[in-house]
Amino acid sequence: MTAVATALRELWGLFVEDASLTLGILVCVVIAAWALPALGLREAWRGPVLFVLLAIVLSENVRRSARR
Amino acid sequence: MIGLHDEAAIYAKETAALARDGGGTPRLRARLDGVALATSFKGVTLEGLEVIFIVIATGAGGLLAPAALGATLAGSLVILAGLGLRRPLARVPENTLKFAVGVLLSAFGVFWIGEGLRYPWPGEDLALLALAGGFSVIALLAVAAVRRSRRPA
Repeated sequence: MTAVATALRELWGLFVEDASLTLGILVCVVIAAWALPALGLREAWRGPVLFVLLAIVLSENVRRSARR
Repeated sequence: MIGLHDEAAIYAKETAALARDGGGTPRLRARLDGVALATSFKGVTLEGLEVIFIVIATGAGGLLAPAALGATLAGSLVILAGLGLRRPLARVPENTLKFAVGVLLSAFGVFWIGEGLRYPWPGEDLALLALAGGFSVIALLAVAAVRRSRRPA
């Protein structure tokens, strides 16, 4: 069981380096998928808005990491 | 955030540790080394999974065979290039390489998310260049900001 738990933890670690950054990215994707169309944003602007959201999440993560 | 480090020194340290764990005599080293196997397997699994996802995403809609063939050819080329260029590649500054790869992966990742959400990217595939440029600017500004904040007062 310990070996299985270790293997799962290693597999998780391969995909998720920083859980807060991962969560932030997922929130941005959810906003892009549902909130932007619901707000009636023109299709041509949704990609650039997605980029801006992700850039904000990335910058905030760097700021927090630098303070640690 | 990962700080600057010496890849050559880390590689030497890790291989020494693996040699120590695998046994000191040539006879013992000739057997299958579980530690080295697990380490390499872990490193390659993630990249292999990425390839699978890219092939599936590219090949969706009846193009799976060409996508798989393209990935196989690319994989073969990369292996040959890695064998032939390993010495000159080892001279490329590691952190510069990681920075460039990070920017490109981020740009492609955002682009593919948009494609998956059926966004019409301005300029279509050329949006990749804009995304790469955007992430480069943000990353460079972030590096400058972190350096400034860590400068002694």
